[in-house]
Amino acid sequence: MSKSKFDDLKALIVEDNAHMRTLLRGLLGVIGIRDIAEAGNGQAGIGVLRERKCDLVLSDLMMQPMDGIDFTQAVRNSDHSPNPFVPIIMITGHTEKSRVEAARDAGVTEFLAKPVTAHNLFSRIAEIVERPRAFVRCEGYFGPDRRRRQIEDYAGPWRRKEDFQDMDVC
Amino acid sequence: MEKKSAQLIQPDGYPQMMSRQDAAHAMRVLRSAQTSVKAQVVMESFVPAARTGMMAQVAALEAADDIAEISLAAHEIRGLAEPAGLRAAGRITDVLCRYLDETQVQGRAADKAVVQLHVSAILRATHAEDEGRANCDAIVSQLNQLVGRKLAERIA
Repeated sequence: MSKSKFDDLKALIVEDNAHMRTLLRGLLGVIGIRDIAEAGNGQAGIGVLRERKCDLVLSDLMMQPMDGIDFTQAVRNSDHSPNPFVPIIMITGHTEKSRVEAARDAGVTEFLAKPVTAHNLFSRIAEIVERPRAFVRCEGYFGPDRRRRQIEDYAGPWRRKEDFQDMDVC
Repeated sequence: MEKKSAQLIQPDGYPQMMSRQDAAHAMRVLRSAQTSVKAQVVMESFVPAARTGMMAQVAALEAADDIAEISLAAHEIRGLAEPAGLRAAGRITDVLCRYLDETQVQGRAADKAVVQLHVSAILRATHAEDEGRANCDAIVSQLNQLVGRKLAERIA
């Protein structure tokens, strides 16, 4: 196979389970991503991001002392975050609605339920590559636009009195 | 009412993983048959490690003292079972995880007998591979019915 455009990318795996890190490393290697750093928890992940550029992050949710939610919030909102826009795929077996919503509201780019399959992981990466989302900065949130469906020619009905007056498009 | 504003930053306003031209080539790689074959090899090579991790979590499940510990182990097992080739255990664990998640949403205590029934079934399925697969459909169906009845009960 010719050199993939993924070959130039740097990834970070934030996961406390060594076996899972091995699996994710192997799957990223299949598509050509081989420059991969690893961290055993969110705090270590933040440390890695301060030391090296990363183009993609795969993060577990349940970790100690810093879990995937706090890690994502730190990446998105910390003054010291080197790249608050970095794509973050959260991969977890904890798919309760409250956790999915917490991950979304922390600013993850994609959410992937375990068990991990190559198809599911690659489809999340494909979404990031093919359909990058706008980022939203508002009171209490910075991260990918949480509205999945963008209907560009939507013509109403509008629900808020303030619509049309408040959106500053960059 | 105080006006609140939001700033929308379009994709060309922040660093992208790759350019649009590179993205087209990358998508071909992601979707290629060669990638699928290589991925299959990776998944198959992961089976022994997944089993090791699974058995550790099953031991934790068996030793768990409370619902919180059971829930933690069960959710980890759910993520490892299928890669470990223990699909029956994974299906049963999925029923348990959904029951525990729903009881949390409803603000009710999980029925300990129901939880223990699931734990026992998971342990049996983990250690009795072929037999576990043969009985899995019936077991999962019955556990689903039990969970459905329990969740439908009025909270006292």
